[in-house]
Amino acid sequence: MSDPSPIEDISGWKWPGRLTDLCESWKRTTTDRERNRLLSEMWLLLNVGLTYYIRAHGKAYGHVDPEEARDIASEKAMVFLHRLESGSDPEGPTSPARICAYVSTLARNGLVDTLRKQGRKRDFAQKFESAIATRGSEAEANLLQDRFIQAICDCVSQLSEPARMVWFLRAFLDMPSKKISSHPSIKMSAAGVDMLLSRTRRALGSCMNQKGLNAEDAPTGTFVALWELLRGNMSEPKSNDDQ
Amino acid sequence: MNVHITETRLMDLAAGLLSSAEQRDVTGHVRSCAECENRLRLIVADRESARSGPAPALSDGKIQLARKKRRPAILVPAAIAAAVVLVVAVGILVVNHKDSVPDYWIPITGETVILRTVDDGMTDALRAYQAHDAKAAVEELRAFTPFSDDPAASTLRDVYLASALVNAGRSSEGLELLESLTLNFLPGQWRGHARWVRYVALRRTDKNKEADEVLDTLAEEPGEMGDKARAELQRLR
Repeated sequence: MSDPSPIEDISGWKWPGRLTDLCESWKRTTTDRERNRLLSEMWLLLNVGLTYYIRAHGKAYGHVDPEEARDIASEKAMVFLHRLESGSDPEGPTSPARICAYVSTLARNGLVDTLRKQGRKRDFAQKFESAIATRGSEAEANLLQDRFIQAICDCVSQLSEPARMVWFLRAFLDMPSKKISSHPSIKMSAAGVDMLLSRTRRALGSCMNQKGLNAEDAPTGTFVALWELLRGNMSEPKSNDDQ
Repeated sequence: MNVHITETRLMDLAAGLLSSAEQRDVTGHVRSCAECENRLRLIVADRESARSGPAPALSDGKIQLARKKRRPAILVPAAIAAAVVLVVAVGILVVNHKDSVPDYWIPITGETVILRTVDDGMTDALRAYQAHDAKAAVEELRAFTPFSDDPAASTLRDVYLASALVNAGRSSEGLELLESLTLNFLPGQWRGHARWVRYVALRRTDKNKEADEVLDTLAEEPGEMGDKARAELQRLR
């Protein structure tokens, strides 16, 4: 595992620096519009940062599944924001290191509370690694990889925007229909998501079959290729060249 | 040796905080590394999950976790369209003769839009229906073949087709088509629309006993179709 401990050298990490900048901007900003914009960006960074620390602490305290981790992250992100809002920060200027320490503490507390509520014992056997099951290095040697990725990108490009997003969010991110239905780029009912998903799977399966491939056999690299194709519809991350 | 990309580097990638060159390096590695790709997948899922859930916003000067307003892009026009259809239908109900059941056009709502999302065939097929051109709608809907193994899509197409047939003065054909369908494939609101179309068809083919039974059943139900049925019962009294 790459980041073995929550307490580590954070030089080279960009998200804590970005979060620090946003916190400082928040303190200077007075308009609701600008503050809401800052909130949106902080919310995403905080949720992902907290989930990272929850997983990291999970190695010592016990594993929670990804949805539980996200629920804890969401709750603790609000704690962070409320503290920022109240200005109750006696320790001086915000810094990336302090941000990380605080986010880590929030994550640990949230995790421990959840595990306590659930009455779980420490579960050293179920490590974080299990949550990210590898698909096997043999996939890297798959001679069909390029052909498959080209084909799936081609088939996905033929779908409408909602269809490809719904399919991607379910097939690769395991999001439940209800959550997909409230995604900002989807906006349809959960029943509609299920129906669209069913049609999209058929359309993709048919398209891939015509190319002599099975849509279920996605090799390594497929997720990244599709994510790059669709990321404009998601969080709209941009290159940082101009920052 | 294959050195994996760190979790936080992947978080920076997902947040768009890397330069173009850094992005290229990281994605280049991730493309051929199953473990890194899975970790990136998890991070992107965290991020999109946060976007899908309630989001904080300022309300009365305080940060509050607000539920996102759902489906504004589709629902608002769809609701307006449905309201217009309802108002027009009620208006027609008032002025029509007691024995003549008014045409019923199933609203084209956000839910219908999902049928147009995988291919464009349904868009064309519903164009005439949306314009309340019954004859053209019959032709266009008949010409449209959804994915053959998708029962929900083909059933919904047939419900619109049956409605168009009834409105084109071919109630017997519409009725026959409706009675051949298994409506269980459809979400509840579509079954309601289909039952109303069946009611109109039964009335227009003078199968009044059956029509009364359908109407009585519908009138006992809550919701839009129940309201519609109760209004129809009032009209018939």
